[in-house]
Amino acid sequence: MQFTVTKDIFLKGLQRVQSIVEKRNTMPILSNVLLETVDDRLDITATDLEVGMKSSYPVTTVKPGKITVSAKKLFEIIRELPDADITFSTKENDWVELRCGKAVFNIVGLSPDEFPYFPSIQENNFIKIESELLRDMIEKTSFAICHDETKYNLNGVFLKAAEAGEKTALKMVATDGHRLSLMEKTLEGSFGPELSKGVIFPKKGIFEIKKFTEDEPCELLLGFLDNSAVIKKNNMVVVMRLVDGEFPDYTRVIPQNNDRIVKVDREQLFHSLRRMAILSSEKSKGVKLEIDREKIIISSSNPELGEAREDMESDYDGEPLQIGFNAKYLLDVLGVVDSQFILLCLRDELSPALIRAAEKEDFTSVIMPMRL
Amino acid sequence: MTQRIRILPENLTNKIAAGEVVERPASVVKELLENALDAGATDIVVEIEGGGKRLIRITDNGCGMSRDDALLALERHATSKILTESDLEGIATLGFRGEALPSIASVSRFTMASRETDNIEGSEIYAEGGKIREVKACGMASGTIVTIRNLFFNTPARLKFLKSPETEAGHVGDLVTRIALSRPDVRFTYLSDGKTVIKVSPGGLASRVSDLLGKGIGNSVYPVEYDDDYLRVDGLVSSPDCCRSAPSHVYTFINGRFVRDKVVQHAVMAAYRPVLEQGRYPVVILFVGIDAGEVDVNVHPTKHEIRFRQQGRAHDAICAAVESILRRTPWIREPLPAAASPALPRPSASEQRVAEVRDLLVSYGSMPPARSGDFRNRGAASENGAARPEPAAIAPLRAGIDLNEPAEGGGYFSSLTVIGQFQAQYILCQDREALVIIDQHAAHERVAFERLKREFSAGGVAVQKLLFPETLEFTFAEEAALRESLEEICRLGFDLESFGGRTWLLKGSPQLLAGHDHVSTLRDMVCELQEMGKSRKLAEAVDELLSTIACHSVVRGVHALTVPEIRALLLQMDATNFAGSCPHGRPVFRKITLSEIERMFKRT
Repeated sequence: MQFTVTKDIFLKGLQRVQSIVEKRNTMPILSNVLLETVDDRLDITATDLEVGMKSSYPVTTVKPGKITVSAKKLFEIIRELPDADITFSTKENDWVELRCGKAVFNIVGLSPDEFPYFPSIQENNFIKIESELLRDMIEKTSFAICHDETKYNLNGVFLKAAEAGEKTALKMVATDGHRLSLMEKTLEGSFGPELSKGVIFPKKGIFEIKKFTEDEPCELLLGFLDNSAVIKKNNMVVVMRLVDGEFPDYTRVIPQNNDRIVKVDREQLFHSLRRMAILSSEKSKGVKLEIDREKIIISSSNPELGEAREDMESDYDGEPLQIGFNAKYLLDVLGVVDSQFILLCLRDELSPALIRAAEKEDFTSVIMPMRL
Repeated sequence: MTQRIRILPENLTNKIAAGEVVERPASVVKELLENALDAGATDIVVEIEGGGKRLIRITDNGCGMSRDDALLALERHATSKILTESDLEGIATLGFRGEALPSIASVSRFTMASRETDNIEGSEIYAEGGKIREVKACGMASGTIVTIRNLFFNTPARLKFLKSPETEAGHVGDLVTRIALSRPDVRFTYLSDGKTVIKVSPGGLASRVSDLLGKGIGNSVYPVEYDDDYLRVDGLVSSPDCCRSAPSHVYTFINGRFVRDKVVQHAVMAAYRPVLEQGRYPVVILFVGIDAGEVDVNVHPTKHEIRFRQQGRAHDAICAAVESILRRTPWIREPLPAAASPALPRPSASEQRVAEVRDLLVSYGSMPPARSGDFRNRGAASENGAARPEPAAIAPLRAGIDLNEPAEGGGYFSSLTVIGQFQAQYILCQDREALVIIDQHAAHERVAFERLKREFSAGGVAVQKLLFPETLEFTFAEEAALRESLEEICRLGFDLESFGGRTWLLKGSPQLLAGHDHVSTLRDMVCELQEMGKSRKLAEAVDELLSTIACHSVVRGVHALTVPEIRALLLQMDATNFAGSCPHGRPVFRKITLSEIERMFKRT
């Protein structure tokens, strides 16, 4: 195998896959990338067996073939090379020679035959989704993903489509058992059997998709293949194994009759909470909210540090109420909601609290209170 | 019609009983030693030959038996130790079942000679396989001599399972050690194949420990004294340096009886947890005195297991007793005695004389009342031991040191002269005659850990409610234990609700455990509650988290400290419990004495 490529293209291609390659793993081949030339195209593939990515770039192929080399080392080398064309060729025993200007590198590779199989993708039955819409949904839910690996069914976001006539409601949910966030968007068209049943995207895969959506707006293609989801954008494909587990019945925990509704300025509450959280205990971040008709008093205390309190105007006409929360959970929600006012819907000090934007209906968050 | 159920002949029942009680020579020695102690003996000689397979002979100077008593003692369930059923509820003697002698006699060639003090002659009984062959008068000192030859001669199966004579002799030695520890007021001699293995004279507990377990251990144990209206604990506990990899040196005695009880052991280990690394065991000699009605010793024929009426309370009291000593970290103040003593000023000859006389007085004081085994007597004997905690020769030395300490409330660490820092990781200090090296990270870690713990316990428990309650299934026993201590578990921050049957709903958990495996912590807790009546699992889980936080929040690795900073750290260490070791159990400081340094340079 031999090909020539410009530094910029090669560097961009290798940078894309760095986050896929696991730093520590038991299979050495997984820290490598697979490079394959077909016609005048270079395919760069990386996988950690859960999430895989394949992207194609234009090169000048001299001799077609394939090889795997260390993703990290190759990236570091290319990054330091001068801006010139790079000649890449394989030699005997899976050695690789890199030439750029006067620099020559001889790198140890591994046989491409050992590299895990990457499915070939056909583009039928793919669903089209606007990248901006998907980004909004991921941004407003992914903070609630559970990081406790023992609860594997919560280590991702749940995506489900519910068809209603012409329109389809697409829901994305994430929870860690203490809080939950839900985004709901209405779209045209039909979404296939997998989504109407609901699927769990793994955490790592969701962050890869999010990266797709961060460039200029475009249309993404979403499809399913056996147990995996496939997301395609221009020259890039991500395949991720869906989390094989039952997502808990989230509809049950979204409170329906929280009738004590407080309307607060989002930004004001956000900054106040950040201030109060400084004096809450390091680990629990507990803050207390005392709500009455005129104001909300936010306070925190820590026997070793001291205490803090701040009042805020509020729009509330119910009975006075006291409730404790982990400040981080509130801040996470307030950080992603993009409306001026939020509605804090409560019932009592031990029942789940519901937060939504005052102007929009598409976002819902549930936070379990804390008994301080 | 043939009868299928028959009453077994007595000879056979004795053999069956022997199967439970007499397992190996050491168990014979145990039974006979306990008899000797129950008889009020003050001088006991144990002789064995061939690991006890050939010969076991126990000679005591106890009260002895008349001929009729001696004959009766060989009958099954014959005993002088209890009379009525109510005696069983308050057993103050070591033995009481009346099974030992007939059991032993049924599997050996058994000779027992005994003379009461006011009889002019003794009587000797010879039995073979449980059958009395000969009874005759004999001349002897007052007391009892029991001689067992050819143990298990008629049960070849048992004989086959005995280990080598050396191993069996070792077991007997361990056993004599245990019993000798429990009664420092009695003289014990143990001979194996004619060689004297153990010879200890009456004295205090501390000198008995030095004699039996070695000077090294004797010098690093500290007296415990604890008394509440429920139980009293006294004895000796070792510093964490003096530890073992197996619980072989955890000697626990309940009312004078050696027990290997898991509740007691768990309590001791719980107290040591902050200062010992995982998998290490301390040297502990603990006497627990408790009202005889509060424990049931009649659980197993060998009486190694016991049952407390209030298991949780006993656990807490024992733990508190040991902890009260460890928290004060007495070993920090003491120089490493063996190494340090040559460098220290020797006490004048007259002081030594006084110490010896005091020693003698103490030994007289602790001479046993005729009948002991009762824990009150035991307590009295060891009170003398506690009043003189160290072997007499060392006590005056230490008294001299204390005079040199800064008198006004200054702690040990702040009294050190700071020399400087080594590699920006270790603090070097001088302690008069010794170089003290302090691991600054470990020291700071312990300080931060204790502060976090205070903070945590002062702050009350924050309970994070769960969005999706978890269902937990328990076994019947666990469920019962859970119900019993539900209130306590809830106080610790678990929000549990019965869901019918043995299923429970977990609706909230302590915020501190959020993101950790709170379910398995709860399960471990319930499991331990069921077994011990007390659980420290949550405290352990919390401690582990806090120690990780502490570890990350303090100076790590290379960090240059100025002298005022070092002084401040030393001051904080004095105000901290368990300052001698970091929360993971590693030592915080080491001492190198002048004499050790001199040896390094071949100056001595």
